[in-house]
Amino acid sequence: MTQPPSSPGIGRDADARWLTELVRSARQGDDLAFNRLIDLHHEAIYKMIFYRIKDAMDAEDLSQEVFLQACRNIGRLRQAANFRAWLFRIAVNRVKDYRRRKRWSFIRGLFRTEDLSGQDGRLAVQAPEGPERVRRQQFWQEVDRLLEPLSPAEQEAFRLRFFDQLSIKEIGQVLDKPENTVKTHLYRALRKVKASPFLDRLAEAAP
Amino acid sequence: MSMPSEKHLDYDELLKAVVDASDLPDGLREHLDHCPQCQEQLQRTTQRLESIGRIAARLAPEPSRSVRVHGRRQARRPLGGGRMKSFMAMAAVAMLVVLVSVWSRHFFAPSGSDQVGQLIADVNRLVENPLPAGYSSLAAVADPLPTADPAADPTAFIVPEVGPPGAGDIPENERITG
Ligand SMILES: [Zn+2]
Repeated sequence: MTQPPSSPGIGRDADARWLTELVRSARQGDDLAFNRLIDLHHEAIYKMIFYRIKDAMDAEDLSQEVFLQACRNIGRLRQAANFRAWLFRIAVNRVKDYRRRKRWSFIRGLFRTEDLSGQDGRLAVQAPEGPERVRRQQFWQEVDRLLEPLSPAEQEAFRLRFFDQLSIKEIGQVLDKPENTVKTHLYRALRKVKASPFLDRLAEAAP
Repeated sequence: MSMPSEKHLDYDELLKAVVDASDLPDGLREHLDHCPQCQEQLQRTTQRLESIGRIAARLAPEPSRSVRVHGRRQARRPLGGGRMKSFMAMAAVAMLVVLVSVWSRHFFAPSGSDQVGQLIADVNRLVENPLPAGYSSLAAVADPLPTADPAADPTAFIVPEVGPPGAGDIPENERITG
């Protein structure tokens, strides 16, 4: 397995080369290299999923599925440099599957008679107590309201750009769309977001 | 090269610049490069949007489990493949024996041909010991076969008895004894 750049200030090019080498080693079956790639991307993928489903435990399960799927299919990744975008693409698809499953279980739940009041327990167990918990809940609710007027494609482009901090090129790879289409989605998203009263409220919450 | 625009970026142009400033028309891009007021506005708008992402990252929980992969090459092997292959081989041999037995009884039983006897003997020998003659004694020493008790043989119902081959059919050194 290749070694990381010796100094943190060595520069983006060296980091990019090192990452590309890791991906190549992982593609040849090097588990150490793949596990290093997981370490480097786990938090970003986990949070990316959490932003979209707002369930910490399900986000754990889904991010694990993302890496296992990536591990099984890494041989199909043509450009090692596109690894991050490829990983996010898998994650976006897992989130779509998850939402489909949730919709079905919701519909099934409508016809069920047993008590479902315990279902919020998963969130309650992990969430912090008191005012901090209220603050977090309020933040996620306001994010939902900010993005409500956006189309699904605009929402996804906006989240990938400003929450997950992907470049336009990477967003194009994740969504399998030309860069100009991504820019159009982003531009439309920004027009709606800038007009929303929730933008100021959310931005003011920043320290 | 076009002249820098005299007017500041309007609302839509500012949003276009947030998405990608290089997409602005040449004149406006020139203006942006030289106008501190428009640069400040662009920076403030971009920061406002990015700050939401930063708060989100801080308020989202951290993953509590680590993810690891091990032994990918082993994991790709189909489970139980070896056992399935040996079962298929056994079944194929059993089917062959049944076919030969039925065929010989229908067409050759009255004549009692030596050729048929030889064929059945060969099949029996292969079922019992597929090793070439030179290896059978070695195999018998290292890993002796269980006693050939027909009553105890669980495959007896699949492989019907075809009658013992003549004593001269199997050479002495290839016979397996209990
Ligand atoms: Zn200006």
